[in-house]
Amino acid sequence: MSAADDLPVDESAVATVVDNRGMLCAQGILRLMRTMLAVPPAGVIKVLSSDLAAEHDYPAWCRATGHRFLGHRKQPDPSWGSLIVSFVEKRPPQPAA
Amino acid sequence: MPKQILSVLAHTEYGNLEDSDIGLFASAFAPVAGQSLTLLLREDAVNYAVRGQDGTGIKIAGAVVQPGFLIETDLQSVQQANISVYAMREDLQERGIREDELIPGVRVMGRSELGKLVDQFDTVWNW
Repeated sequence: MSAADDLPVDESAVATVVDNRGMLCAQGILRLMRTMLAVPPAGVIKVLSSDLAAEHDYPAWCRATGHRFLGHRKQPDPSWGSLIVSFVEKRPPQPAA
Repeated sequence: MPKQILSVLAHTEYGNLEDSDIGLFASAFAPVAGQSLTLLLREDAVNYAVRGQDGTGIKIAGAVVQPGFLIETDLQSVQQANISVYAMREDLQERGIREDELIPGVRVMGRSELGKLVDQFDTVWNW
């Protein structure tokens, strides 16, 4: 887990935030995918997740789909205990294999 | 070699407060597990392939489905993740759906081609 200060992410570059708090990671993936449709290539998306599986699922999804996983951090949240905050950079569409 | 999965959606959702089809949620998640997925819409689920549907403002027992049932957006999203989407020609025709009404990128196939398609996959999910 990266500490916040170690993240190579300029939060001012975040194009949009996907709030997946209260959802299973499987539901959150589709919401991230929806959001990506409207974000231009190289746009950065910040994802808030209460499902701690996000720590593994978003990097794996990025590896499988060609997007760039920039990192994540764990932060306390008054409602959910802790959150995984992930940063994903949209890459141009890859040709189908 | 990733496992090849054919995910077959045959029914449309009803009475469900989720904002997408449960089979589509699972299908979108498949790349996380390193699986390669293709989606086939057949029977009533071919209705999902029609472009320009407005799934917002749906209420079930007074509860609003948020942000709406965004099936067109979701199909475009999975296509962008290199998940191919097929729709069954005969099921479209039986419901009066023309091919020029479909979301761009949806491929149409006939029932007679189904066996050949299924043979290409390690696993078939039915929803």
